[in-house]
Amino acid sequence: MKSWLAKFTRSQEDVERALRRPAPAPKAALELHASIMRAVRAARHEEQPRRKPFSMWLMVSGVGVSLAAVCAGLLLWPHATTPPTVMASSELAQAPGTALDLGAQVPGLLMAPLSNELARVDHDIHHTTQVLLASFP
Amino acid sequence: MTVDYQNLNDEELARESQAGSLTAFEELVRRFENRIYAFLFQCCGNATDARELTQDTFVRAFQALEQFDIRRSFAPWLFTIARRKSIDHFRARQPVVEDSAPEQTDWNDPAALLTQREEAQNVWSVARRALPPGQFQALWLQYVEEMNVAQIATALGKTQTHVKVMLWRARHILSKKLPAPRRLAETPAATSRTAIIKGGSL
Repeated sequence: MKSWLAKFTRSQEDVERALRRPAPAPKAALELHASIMRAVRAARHEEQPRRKPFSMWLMVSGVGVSLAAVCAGLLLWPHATTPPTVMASSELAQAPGTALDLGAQVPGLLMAPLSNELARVDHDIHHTTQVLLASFP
Repeated sequence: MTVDYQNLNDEELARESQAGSLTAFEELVRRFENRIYAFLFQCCGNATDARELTQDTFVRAFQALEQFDIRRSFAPWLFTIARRKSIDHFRARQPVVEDSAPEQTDWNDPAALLTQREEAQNVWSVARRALPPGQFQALWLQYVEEMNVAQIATALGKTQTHVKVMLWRARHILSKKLPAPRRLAETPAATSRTAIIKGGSL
């Protein structure tokens, strides 16, 4: 048993030693480097035109997607984009009248200071309305 | 500012190449062309195919450079490409089936003895003939390229355990195929002399 083990160990050592010796290194031909680099440069040139249409495709598809998103937004939330309702000029003209009616209905004692204030406000609103109406074309 | 590419390691050069530097890639080619060529020459056995495969390997590496993870070693990645190229090459061409049956050595024939001695000197030619391609490549990557088991596993696309088994089997086969230097010395006369010395009769 011992002799078998010794023989096995010895043979393994022999193989290990043989494998550790410098391996035969077949030198590549001198022109190999040049031919590799030529091929690499050719591959690079082939690759560049291939990348250009890809970027173009990416840009076009990006624009398309963003347009689709805008359309979807308009369809799904129509109220979000509608402009706020503008008060008609006739309604503006009615506003001071409404304030005067309110003052006449409330008793004078209680409402006197308030009605004076309201009269002043009413006067201001009336002037503002006149100015606004005059500024419209 | 100019970068001195000769001072960069392989992974740094790969990173520079990924950024678009052809000079960095050329430095990688310079470092690896002979190693890849030697590996492929041992795999396919002829210089023309080895040259062609070496060129294809570097072109493929250049095209796939973006896929390389710079946190890993560059050499196993490149050897993976080289190995795949050699597999594709042999798949495309029908392999020449050689009669690999070992010839019986006539120990009285000086020519046979000389051949055996030459083979002992070039263990790789014996390995190429005696071992399956995977085992041969694993041995080459370990002893010539000095890769560790993990790197060999990456290059060969196997698990580390598989690689260890392959290496053990390859060494075991080689130990049987190689003519042991001591065996020649162990003639019956020499053996009996050793036994007498050990027994203390002399």
